[in-house]
Amino acid sequence: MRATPTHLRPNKTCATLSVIAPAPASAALRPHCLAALPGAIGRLVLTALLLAGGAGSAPAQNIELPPGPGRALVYGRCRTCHDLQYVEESKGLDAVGWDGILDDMESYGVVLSPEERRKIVDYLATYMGDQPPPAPAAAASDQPADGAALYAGNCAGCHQENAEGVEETFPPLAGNDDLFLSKDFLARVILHGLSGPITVKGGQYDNEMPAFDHLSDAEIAALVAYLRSHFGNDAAAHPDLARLTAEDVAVLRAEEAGPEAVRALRDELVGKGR
Amino acid sequence: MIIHNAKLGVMETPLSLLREHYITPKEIMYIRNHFPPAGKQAWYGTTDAPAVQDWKIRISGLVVRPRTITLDDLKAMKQVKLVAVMQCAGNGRYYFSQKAKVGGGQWKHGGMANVEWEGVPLRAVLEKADVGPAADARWITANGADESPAPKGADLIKSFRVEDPFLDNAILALKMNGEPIPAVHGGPVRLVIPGYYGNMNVKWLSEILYETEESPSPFQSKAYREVKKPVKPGTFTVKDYNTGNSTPTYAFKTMSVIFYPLAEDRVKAGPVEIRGVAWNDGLAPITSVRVSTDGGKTWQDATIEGGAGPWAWQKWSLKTSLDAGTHDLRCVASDALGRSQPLDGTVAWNPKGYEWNGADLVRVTVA
Ligand code: HEC
Ligand code: HEC
Repeated sequence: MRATPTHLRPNKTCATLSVIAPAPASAALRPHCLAALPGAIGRLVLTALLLAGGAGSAPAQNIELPPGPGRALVYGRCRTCHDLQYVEESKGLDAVGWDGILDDMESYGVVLSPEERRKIVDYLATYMGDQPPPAPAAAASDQPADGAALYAGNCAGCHQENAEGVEETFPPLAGNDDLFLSKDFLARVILHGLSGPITVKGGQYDNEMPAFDHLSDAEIAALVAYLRSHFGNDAAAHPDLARLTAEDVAVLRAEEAGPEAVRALRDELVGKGR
Repeated sequence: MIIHNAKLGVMETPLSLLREHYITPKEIMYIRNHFPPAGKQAWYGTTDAPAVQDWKIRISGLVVRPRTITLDDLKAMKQVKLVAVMQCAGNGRYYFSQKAKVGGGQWKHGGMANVEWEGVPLRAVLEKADVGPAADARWITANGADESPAPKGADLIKSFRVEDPFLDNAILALKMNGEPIPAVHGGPVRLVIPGYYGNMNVKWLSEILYETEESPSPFQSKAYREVKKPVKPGTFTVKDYNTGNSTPTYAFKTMSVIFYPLAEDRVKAGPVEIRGVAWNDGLAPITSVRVSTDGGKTWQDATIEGGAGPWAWQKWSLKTSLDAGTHDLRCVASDALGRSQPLDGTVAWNPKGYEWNGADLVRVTVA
């Protein structure tokens, strides 16, 4: 067997991946085990960043785009297959260029109404275009706090219009008791995201949902109410769970949490057997 | 590493890391994936081989006897080894954007690796399977097990002419650098076509079809295509591509990069050895690498040290000396067929930013 250079020798105590961190300059690299770190993809990305001495570009999936009308649709529709770094790195395209990108995305399987498509192209051409963008529009929401519209614009891109999800990739939100795991669980998923292995209605998932904290408190409260009373969820409704208000969402928003913390909370709630 | 998409683990290798190994270790090899195989998002979290007991590849289409071959069938056949550059068709896209913005990940030169592959020749597999393709089945289509998260979405699929001579060297690779291929790099079975851009080397190979036409998938007909004739920004856009005015990004253009010194290296005035690698599609040897230390005014011939076979990085070096001050280092490779690199790579500007092969430019400060 050929000797493996020390800095590439897999760390035996590390179950999944040996992570290589740089010593000063490009001298010997030290192996590290980061198996305890959350999220499969997060682990690989962390490896990569450590390799580059932390000099990588945006490590997180949650890339923030400049506020402006249409941004929420990009957040809702454009993170199904990839994160928004492709959009960020394409900044500077002109309107025709962005329109062409949308042609391509539609051929890959993005489903948009003509109205949604127009809003997305306008947003991208204005805020990610070849001209300096206008002064940031008030981050004020461009969506009415109407549950059905909020679901279509923000959630249907992954969980599908009928909320049945996509096998092995996006769990169903239809007929899903988990929406009633606790008063706050659903709002926490929306605010902070969710990541890691979960079982939903017998199906396995090990994926990541980004946070939707750009939605207002009132919007999140409206979404929660809508989801809990549609898609067959009313059947599972627990009358003893008090209605979640915008004020409740404001309190949850202030907590320090991420997709992993929400998963841990979920594990705990599921473990309690509801 | 330089991340281009955290969700998909898409990333490139800084040249300062890439240059440290002649054979690129899996831990630092660039990654470019579109979608994971369904339900296998976790594969993206490691550089381990996928935990699969078996793997099936269906060979069908316009054939008399469709067959399914298994991983064990492949393991039982005679294996060959080869070293080949794997390179993303978008490698160097960033440099096109210096002329006019092109969409997509802004890759510098790190979307490439030099890797040892081991597996069974594609032709031998097809011959053994003996599926009896129809006479008018002129295309071979390779499909991988990746799946779009969008229910009706397209996934990666690639078509080649049945008689394509590059397929004569193609293998169904089972090992990379002597180990089972990591899932992020296409294991357990990857179609490896030496000399062809990365996207042609279908990962998680699960299906081979004989067909009369090339695949209508957008991954064949829209994505990863290179214009046949030079185009200008503003007059030709991503909307203008069709199968008549463009071809799939098949074979590598002739290319070279400088590995030492890089902009971040501290170089002392006096004698210095400038080093780098060159490669092409393997059809003809790299016969010349010329290096300039004054931004292209004067040129010197580098020594070509060669590499591990026709598809591998060909190492080159030039012993010269540099005065204190700023120097623009450049290099240009040519092969025995006279195929070389433009000094100004943006002459080949295209709205998708593929197949960059402009002469490298490294500005070093010598103290
Ligand atoms: C169904 C999956 C899917 C969805 C949803 C999706 N994309 Fe993409 N996107 C892709 C694929 C696949 C690529 C890579 C294509 C390639 O490499 O040629 C890509 C690449 C890109 C790029 C880089 C440029 C390019 O063509 O490679 C941009 C910009 C982009 N997407 C923007 C968007 C926007 C904006 C949306 C929301 C409207 C979106 N995407 C939604 C599949 C998708
Ligand atoms: C970019 C794709 C995407 C979008 C858009 C999205 N989700 Fe998710 N969602 C996921 C994924 C992936 C999971 C599973 C995460 C895992 O495997 O840990 C998930 C899980 C969930 C769960 C947990 C289900 C359970 O049974 O525990 C809820 C609740 C949820 N999403 C609600 C929403 C709501 C509400 C919206 C709209 C605001 C939304 N999602 C938008 C991808 C998405």
